Amino acid sequence: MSDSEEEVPTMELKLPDYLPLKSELMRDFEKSFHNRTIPDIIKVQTRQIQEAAEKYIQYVLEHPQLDFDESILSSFEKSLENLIRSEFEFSKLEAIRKNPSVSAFASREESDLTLDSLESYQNITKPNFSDVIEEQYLEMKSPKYSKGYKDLIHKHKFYNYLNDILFVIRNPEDQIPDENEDEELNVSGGKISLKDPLSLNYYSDPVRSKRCKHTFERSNIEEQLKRGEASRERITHCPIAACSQVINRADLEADVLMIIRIRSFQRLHNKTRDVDTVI
Amino acid sequence: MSLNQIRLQEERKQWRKDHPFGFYAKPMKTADGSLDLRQWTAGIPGKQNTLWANAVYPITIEFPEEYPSKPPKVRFPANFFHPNVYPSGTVCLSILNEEQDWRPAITLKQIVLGVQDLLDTPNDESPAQEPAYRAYKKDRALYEKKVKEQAKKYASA
Repeated sequence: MSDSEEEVPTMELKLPDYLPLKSELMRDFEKSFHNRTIPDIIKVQTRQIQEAAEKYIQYVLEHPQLDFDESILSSFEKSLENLIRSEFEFSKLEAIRKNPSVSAFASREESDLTLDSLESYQNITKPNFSDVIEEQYLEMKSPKYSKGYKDLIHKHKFYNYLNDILFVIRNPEDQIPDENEDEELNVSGGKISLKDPLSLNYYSDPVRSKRCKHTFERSNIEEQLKRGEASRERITHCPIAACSQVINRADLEADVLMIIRIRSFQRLHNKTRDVDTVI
Repeated sequence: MSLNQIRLQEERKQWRKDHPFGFYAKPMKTADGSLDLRQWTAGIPGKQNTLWANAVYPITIEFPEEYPSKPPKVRFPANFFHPNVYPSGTVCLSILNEEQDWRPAITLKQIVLGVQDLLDTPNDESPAQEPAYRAYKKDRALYEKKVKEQAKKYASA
């Protein structure tokens, strides 16, 4: 080894901690993270599953001799859950892309790393692009962000509807637990009456008032409405004691969950009766 | 079958299956021995630790044809001593008044419990007879004496 070679300070040849991002790489990043086709695909698939599930539910409702198949409903529910999760994962990537500390790299005008600029880069102590991305990604894994997924799934009306249907098939007489409430407070849900409060008989065509969410047998509440219309006040109070709402014809809608409760209850009941007879 | 009949049959079934302690309620028999579901007799026990205790007060419950749209009429024996009972025995109670708080979903059980509550907590605002109301407002000693005498009359075995 010659003397002159020994004089070269080896420190100087080390790559700087901060490396400028090549503009082509930034473009590649933008392209792969900002993919508009993915949310569209998720949207289309969600709609398809929802339509298929709706058709299935409608079909079984129209054919009283059929039973709801839990595994079919569960698979609809699982598929939706996966799509909602994909949507959430994708929204995380979008959030990273849009984060100011990440997007700032796109506008940076920095010269490429050459031997000439090496020295100036040695003195920069900014975090690298990859470090920023990693930091953001780790941040997304924190519990604060996983709550975002729970919110997303709670907001998904049809997913919750499927969930409720599955619950009442398995527990026709139990109150649906309220996910928004403290789970510990929710251990003992009350029983749901499957009987019309006007006739005290089991429902066969239950309808629910949108205003107060009270359910009645259709023919019996119709009778109340006729009386209400003929009364002096021309209104029909909700027949439930202490309910301050009025009942309007236009507010009545078929209570699908109650129909499913009744059918599941009767099925479970007949099954136990069959067993009894066999024994 | 009309809603009226369906409902009354279910009320009877539910009462037989389960009813509050110390109460009784049953449809009356008609002349030919069959049950008249629109006419019931019932007994209301006075609450413990009240002037009304240790007695069961007889009432009749009459369900109109329009029941459950319209409330039943509840009657104690004529001249029953209570500020909210008319001389005829008819009970004046908001949940039994169609113009007030009656709702078709109110059950027989809720009615008899409501009447039991009324015994020891008369409603100042709807006097229905002179003697009990005046005694209750002006001469509490007399009121208590009268109520206790009445309790003896209907003392439970």
